[in-house]
Amino acid sequence: MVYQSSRAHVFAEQLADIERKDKIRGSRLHKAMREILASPYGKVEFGKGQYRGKRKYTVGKDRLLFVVCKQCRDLKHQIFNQCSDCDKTKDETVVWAGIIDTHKY
Amino acid sequence: MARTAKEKAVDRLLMLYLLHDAFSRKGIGSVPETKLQKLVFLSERSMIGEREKGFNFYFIKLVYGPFSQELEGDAKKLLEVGLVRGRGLHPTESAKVVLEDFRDVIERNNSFTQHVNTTNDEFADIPLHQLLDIIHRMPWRRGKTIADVPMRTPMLYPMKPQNVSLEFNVTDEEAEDLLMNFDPKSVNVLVQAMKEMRSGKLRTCEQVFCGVPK
Repeated sequence: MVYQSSRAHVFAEQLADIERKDKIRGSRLHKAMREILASPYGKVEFGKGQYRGKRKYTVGKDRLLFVVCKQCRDLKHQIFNQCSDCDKTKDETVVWAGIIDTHKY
Repeated sequence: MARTAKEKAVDRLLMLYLLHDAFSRKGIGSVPETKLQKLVFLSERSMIGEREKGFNFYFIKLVYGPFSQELEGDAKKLLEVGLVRGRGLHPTESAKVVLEDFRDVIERNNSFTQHVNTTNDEFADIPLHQLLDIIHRMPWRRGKTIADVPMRTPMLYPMKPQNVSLEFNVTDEEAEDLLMNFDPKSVNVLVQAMKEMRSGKLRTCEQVFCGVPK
């Protein structure tokens, strides 16, 4: 079962910017997103500190930040993520939060 | 030589730990930047004395004693990402969250945090002018004191690998997680995303994948 997804505007802007500047990097990110949507519990790594409650997925030097709604509810991560439309969102949804570019550290 | 990403992560974590320790355990009201410079200098000096590679700041002597430009930049970053606030560099709730999530790293490196604790015990609650006086009277080479050292003299710099007996132990992944927390651009992305999630203004599935190459 492929999960639904929704994304923050900041994520959409980042992705569009990456695609414009580097097509290969952009398509790598899309591929990773499709993999996550097909199997969201494949490789579970959570962010730490200020990133509590967000999953992270390594794509080259990029880190995809996202939330799987069912997992967020099961682990009581709503306290960190605080989505206002939580009650309207299906369990089988992935929320894309942002892309962290670790090239620049 | 420029610090590596791992060294930056360690420097910022130890600095945050120092500030949190000074406020929580010593109960002081503020740590102005000049005082932070001196406390980090004293901690790094104590680490280097034991050939332990924790802090990696390069200090030179200026009018108010040892000063590190890198440390100044790192303190600004902590302010920008909201881990400390105000001129007194007071750690925020987010700082506590970061220190809590990296507790295992801190505990694994307790030899380094011990140097920080000892420095705070001895110097954190001393008024700044007295602290500067103590530092200026500290011995330097050939019977001189720090006060005698010419301006801009290098005072501390990261140890050469062959001189190190103990290095701060942090994995690449932990260092990356730390840098994500200390990087203003990354934290800004997170803050914006959180705002949108809280307001429910997210794009839907259809909007996401329109035009996505298969």
